[in-house]
Amino acid sequence: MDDLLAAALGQITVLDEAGTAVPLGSFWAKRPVVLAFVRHFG
Amino acid sequence: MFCRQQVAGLSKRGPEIERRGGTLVVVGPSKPEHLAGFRAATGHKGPLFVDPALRAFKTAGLVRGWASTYHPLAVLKGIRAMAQGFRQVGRQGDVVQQGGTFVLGPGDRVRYEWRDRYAGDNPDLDEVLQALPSP
Repeated sequence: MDDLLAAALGQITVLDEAGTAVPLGSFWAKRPVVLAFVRHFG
Repeated sequence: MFCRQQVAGLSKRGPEIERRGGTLVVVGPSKPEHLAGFRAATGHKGPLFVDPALRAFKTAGLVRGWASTYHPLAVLKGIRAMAQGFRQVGRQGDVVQQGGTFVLGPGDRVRYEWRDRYAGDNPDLDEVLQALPSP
């Protein structure tokens, strides 16, 4: 179950400051990550 | 206020995260143009992204709703965060979306998962760090 969550999240693309789409999973393919979701940027 | 506090706290542990071979990746529900100001406010220099459609938030199973934003504990913690100097300066993004913290990888492995139950319900950072591989 857990690993399915990592696989599903990994396929989602997010946007950087320039608006470029980056697949989230690229960050934990080779090394571990602390992935923090923040509520808003206020 | 909670978000800045949360990321400032995590950023401070940046060297420990790196010593354990990890990277801190921050995702918010806002728009790309809000990222520069957030970087300046928190000092976070690592990967920072937005998820405007909330696809990652939804996949991660994070709570959304006014009840969790104005939970009594959230109000109490807000008073404490303000006392520590974390003021909320205008809100950008989806204010009723709750956050969470995950430790993942390498590969599709979940080492740790935390979903905020209400605003300001952040995880114990020692537990987050211990979920990373030993240095």
